[in-house]
Amino acid sequence: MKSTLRAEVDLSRDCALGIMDFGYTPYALGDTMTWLTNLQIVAHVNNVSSVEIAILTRPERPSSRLQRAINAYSYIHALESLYPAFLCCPMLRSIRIYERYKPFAQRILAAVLARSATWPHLISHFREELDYSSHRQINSFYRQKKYIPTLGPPRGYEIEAGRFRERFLAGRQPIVVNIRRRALSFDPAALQRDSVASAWDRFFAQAEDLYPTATFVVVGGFSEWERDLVRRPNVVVPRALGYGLGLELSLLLGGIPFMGTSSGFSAAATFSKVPYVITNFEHQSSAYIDLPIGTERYPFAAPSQRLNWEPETEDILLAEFARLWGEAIAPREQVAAP
Amino acid sequence: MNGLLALLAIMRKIYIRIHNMRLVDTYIVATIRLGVGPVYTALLGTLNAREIERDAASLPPVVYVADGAPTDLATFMVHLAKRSAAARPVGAALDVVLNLAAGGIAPSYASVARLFHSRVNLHVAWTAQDATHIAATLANGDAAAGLSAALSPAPAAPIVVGNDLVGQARARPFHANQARELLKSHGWSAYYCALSLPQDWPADAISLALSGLARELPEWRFVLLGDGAGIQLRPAQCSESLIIPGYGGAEVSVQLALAMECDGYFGVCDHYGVAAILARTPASIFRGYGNEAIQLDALPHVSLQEGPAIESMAAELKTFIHTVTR
Repeated sequence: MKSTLRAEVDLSRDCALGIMDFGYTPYALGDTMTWLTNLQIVAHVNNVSSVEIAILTRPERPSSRLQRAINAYSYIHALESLYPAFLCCPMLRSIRIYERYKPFAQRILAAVLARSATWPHLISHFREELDYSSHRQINSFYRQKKYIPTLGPPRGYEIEAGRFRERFLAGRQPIVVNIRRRALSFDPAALQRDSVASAWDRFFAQAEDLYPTATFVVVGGFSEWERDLVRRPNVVVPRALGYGLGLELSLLLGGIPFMGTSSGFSAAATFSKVPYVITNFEHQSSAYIDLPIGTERYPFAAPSQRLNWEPETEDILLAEFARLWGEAIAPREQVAAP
Repeated sequence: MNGLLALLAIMRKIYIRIHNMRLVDTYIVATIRLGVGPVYTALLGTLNAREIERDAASLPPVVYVADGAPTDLATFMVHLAKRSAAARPVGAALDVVLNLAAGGIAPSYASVARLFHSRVNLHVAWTAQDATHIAATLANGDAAAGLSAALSPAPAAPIVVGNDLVGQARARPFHANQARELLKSHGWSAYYCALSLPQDWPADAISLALSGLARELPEWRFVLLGDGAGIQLRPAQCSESLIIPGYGGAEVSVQLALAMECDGYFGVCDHYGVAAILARTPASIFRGYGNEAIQLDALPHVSLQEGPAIESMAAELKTFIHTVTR
């Protein structure tokens, strides 16, 4: 066996391998969060303490058929926009991004030879069938073990997040908010999950009087926030201040409660210990996540982690926020007060 | 006729139903893939290992140990420029192994690495040991031993930027075009000066100096580079002549491209400064703002200033602009 292949096999022995070939899987934040959780579960099941991620993205096959808008010219932007998400895996040992197929093939071949645990399973990978959104494996693991491995803040953003908190959130009670507005992006998809911006706007106006110490950190794509939001005194939009996904995930997975639409950020919250309420939960996805419509929380969720299946209205948002505030934020505020 | 149309409509519905059930994909295409995929992967994986063994001397991966300092991206960039100056076979990718044990934001390092090749395989680890193991998968025995030594943290001598490195970096077309469009949309006939200023300079003083200059030099616009952590100016301090791309959603890759596309660069020797120098953009570089790891040779398009203060910024910038337009 050639020395590099032998080294690759040795590297494969004591870790689980996450395979992300963007030729057949979508560039999507929520799916990446679910994928990472599945990968960590594979590692737990196989009793290995670390994971390695191998990502393949290349101009010959830049995207799956779900995302035709991403082509050989723009795939690098899609990858860069998503990269911080992969750093949210606490078990991560190394991450390897390939723009050439041959070295990626060497990595996969080594995983086959070493009989590594992988996500997706090697057979699924060769069939190009990734279960990227269902909770089948996660629910099954939870039923057996009564816990799931959670995600953490992305590595490398600690200093940036600390400075952001100091500069914009000192003395405030922050809440991370995501208002899905994919209709405003260059790649509109699953628009039935988009939020009603006006309901959120009225909610922020009301919250200004009702919760004077609350600051809403609105996260999401640069094209997705309304300019009016930035002018509100109780709203901070990190993307409008030169920050990106890494900082946003760092705040969310660093423990700031979350409120927002069923989307990528809500998936990050789902697989964390952060208190949350997910609004406008998509009925269609109940089949994928194995939950009847109307269920209040995921089986693996904590009491302060809730789902709401109705489209957002000002009243719904106020009611859900009151509950979140009472359960997760007010107790913290009382502790902080002298 | 109506009967035929009805039949066609039914057949179309059946086709859509079958298509939606992905029966062909699931039972035929995926099965073919399952038969072909492992063989193809084994063949190409083995071929890759053989090629590394055969061409080890001409295809060494670039290895780098980040030191966690704010200006480390600039040092990384110079390091890559030096290593990527060596000729690579057509079609080969640039392999970069990065040890981030001391900290650093991996996506920013990735953005820098992509300036040096149209295809970059980037391998990031957070311990020297893991990085060494990865390096061993990219180079054969002798070369891997050398890489292993290079992946352990050690004090390094200053790295020299000479004329041989100029022209080594090039932004990916997507990012370069974004940068060009941004400049054109703000006035295609204007001149643009990219700025990356010391972080401890007060925002109000910067804003005041630049608005004064904008009145004196109406054909010039100033592009203040940096992310949210680096820029202290408030969004309201942007004006027709002062552009802050970070506030417009521009990420590191686009801002690097901006440093390369502008008509001049004025500021510290960070990654934006080095990108400008490598792209042959006329540059006025501040010495003494933290990047002692980089030593600049005498380059015709670069002038050096010894630690200018904010008070003299307007005068220095004006002098620089005159040299650019002369």
